[in-house]
Amino acid sequence: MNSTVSLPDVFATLAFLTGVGGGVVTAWLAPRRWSPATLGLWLGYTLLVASGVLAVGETGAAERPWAGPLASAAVVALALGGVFSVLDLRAREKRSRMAHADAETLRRDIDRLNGINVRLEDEAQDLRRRARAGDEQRSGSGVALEATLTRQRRALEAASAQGRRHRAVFDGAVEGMALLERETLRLIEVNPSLVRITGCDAKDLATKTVMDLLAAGPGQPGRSDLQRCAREGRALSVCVRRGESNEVPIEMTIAVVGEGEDARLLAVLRDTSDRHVVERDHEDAVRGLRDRVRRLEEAATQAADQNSNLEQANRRLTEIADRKDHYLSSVSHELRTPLTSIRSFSEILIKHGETEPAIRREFLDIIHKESERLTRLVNNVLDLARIEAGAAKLIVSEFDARGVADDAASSVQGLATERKVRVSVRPGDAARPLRADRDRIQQLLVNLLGNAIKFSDDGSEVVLEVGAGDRPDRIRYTVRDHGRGIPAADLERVFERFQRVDDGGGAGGTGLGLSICREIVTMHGGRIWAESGDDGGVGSVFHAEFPGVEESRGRNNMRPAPATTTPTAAPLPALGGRESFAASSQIRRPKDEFSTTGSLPPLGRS
Amino acid sequence: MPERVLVVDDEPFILRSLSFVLERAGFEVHQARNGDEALEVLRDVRPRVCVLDVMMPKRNGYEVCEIVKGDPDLRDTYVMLLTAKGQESARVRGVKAGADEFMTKPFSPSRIVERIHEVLHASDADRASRAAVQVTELR
Repeated sequence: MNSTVSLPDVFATLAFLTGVGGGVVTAWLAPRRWSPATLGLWLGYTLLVASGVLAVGETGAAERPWAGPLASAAVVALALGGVFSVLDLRAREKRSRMAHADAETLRRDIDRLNGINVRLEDEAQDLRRRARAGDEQRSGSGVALEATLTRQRRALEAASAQGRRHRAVFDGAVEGMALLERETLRLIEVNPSLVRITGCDAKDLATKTVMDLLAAGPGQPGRSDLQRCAREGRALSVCVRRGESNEVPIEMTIAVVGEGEDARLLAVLRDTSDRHVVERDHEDAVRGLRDRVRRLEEAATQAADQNSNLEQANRRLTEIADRKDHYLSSVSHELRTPLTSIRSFSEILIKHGETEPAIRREFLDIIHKESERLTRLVNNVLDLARIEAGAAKLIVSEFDARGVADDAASSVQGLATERKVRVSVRPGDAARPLRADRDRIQQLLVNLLGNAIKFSDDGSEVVLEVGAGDRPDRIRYTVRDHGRGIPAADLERVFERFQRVDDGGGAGGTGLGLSICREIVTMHGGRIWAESGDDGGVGSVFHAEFPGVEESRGRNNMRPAPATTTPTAAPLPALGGRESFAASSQIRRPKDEFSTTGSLPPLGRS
Repeated sequence: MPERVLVVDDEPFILRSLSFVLERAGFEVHQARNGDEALEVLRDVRPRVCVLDVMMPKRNGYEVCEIVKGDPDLRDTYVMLLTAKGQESARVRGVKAGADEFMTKPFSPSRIVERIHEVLHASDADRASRAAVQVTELR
């Protein structure tokens, strides 16, 4: 040992320290993961440390067997580590650059996105603001819109009301009116007056221009004249065709209506002819007349109603009057006929004294017959008149219906003998009480029998039956003959006055007998009717039916006869004494009417 | 030759009385009982006078009168209407029918004879004068 520090020692120490320090630095700096660079460095530094340690251990030795190779190995390892580190660093550097570039790009993107974001934000804000404003506006504008709509609706209503008014004016105007297209002067719309003035119908007019309406002629205005008139608002005198051949003088004005595109022309055509005025007056007059006619018609209808009532009443009255007239003239004729005979023959007898006795006797006979006929007629007429006037009262008593039939039969016996007719009564087997005016019943039966005898053929039989009616208590008299009968159509009519079946003048009836029969039956509340004969329609049958006793008591228009007096003697209270005498005498008259005729001997032929 | 007279009535007694007086007065009397019969006789016999009752069956007197006056052959017949009614209306109807004279029932037969004489005489005179006029005119 030499007490001086030798150079290799210092080197060894340095190597050792460098190794330790490098190792620490590497471990500190080196990344966690293993890489060739760190491995190399670690290995180099470790070898350095080892070489240093070895070098120290071999101090003093001339040669250091392990330190040198170790140190060399350490240098190689360090060199390799260094190379790898450099490579590694360069790789890292490259990566770092790329990452930097990426970051840059990213940053720019971010910036851009930020910018976009800001703008979006702004826009969103704006939108929000505008949305808010919109909200406000919206609620405000709703009200406004409502108001506008109402206004518009009102305006529309007003406009349509006005339109209607205008339409009414248009349609109702006396002047002819037409809406024209501004340029072509085509008729867009026409009013009824124009139709009337031109005599064309509205459909035809729609195809025409206003120029087509004008009559041909040199003085007529052209299209330009019309348009100038429209501008100047001047009236124009023109002639307008009416129908095929007529022309009407017209004063025409044309006005522009509307604005811009919608502008039209309104042509007003005033008929200036007198005829038009006359027509208008005429129309007014006609209207007035129609009104009056209608009123008159109403009045007439009312009057007609009243009138028809009056007419009905009048017809009834006229009928009654006619019947009365006819009756009166019939009576007059019937009275004058026997009177004429009486007067004629009595005059002949007086003036022709030279007449042979047989003829004088014949004429006296005629006078007698005719005076009888006259008497009967007068009695019948008076009788009917009294019954009709309601003056003839019934003198009612209760009696056997068979007895009066016998009386009647015997009172016509004379006539029957004269006419060679047999009269028989079939009274039935039991007594039949009848409550009636006995004289009237007898008059009735005498009339019916006399009638039957007059229309009977020689040698035939007339039968009077007494029996029950529809009810057992009712009395029915039936008179049958075998004469010429009555045509079915006349069965009702025979009871009318002077409705004689044509008897050739030979029967000498008054034409009132059956009328009186009907009156008598009616007064008693009974009924009378005629039928054609049973056996093959030969002859005729007359029925007269009367109410039963009890039934008749129920009738109050029959006055019962006082119990103490005989019916025939009872005066008719409604009449004066003389008339009552006449009445009762005439009631009895039929009884002797035929017997006297029959009993008169045929002096002339004796 | 006796003048012919037609008497028309549906009442046999009136026919009898008129016929009697007219025959006694020298007329040739024809009778009819209704209108139809009357027209028949009128056409057959051509009487100068017809006494005609108004109220008759089968054509009354007015109708017969109208036919007579409307017939050129019968027109000259003198028609005397017998009216039973003496009323103005009957007379008016008779005039319309063309009747020449009216007699109201009850009439006097001798008065009718008288009238017929007068009528025929006047008619003859008229005819004679007309003939005379004709003769003078011819001259």
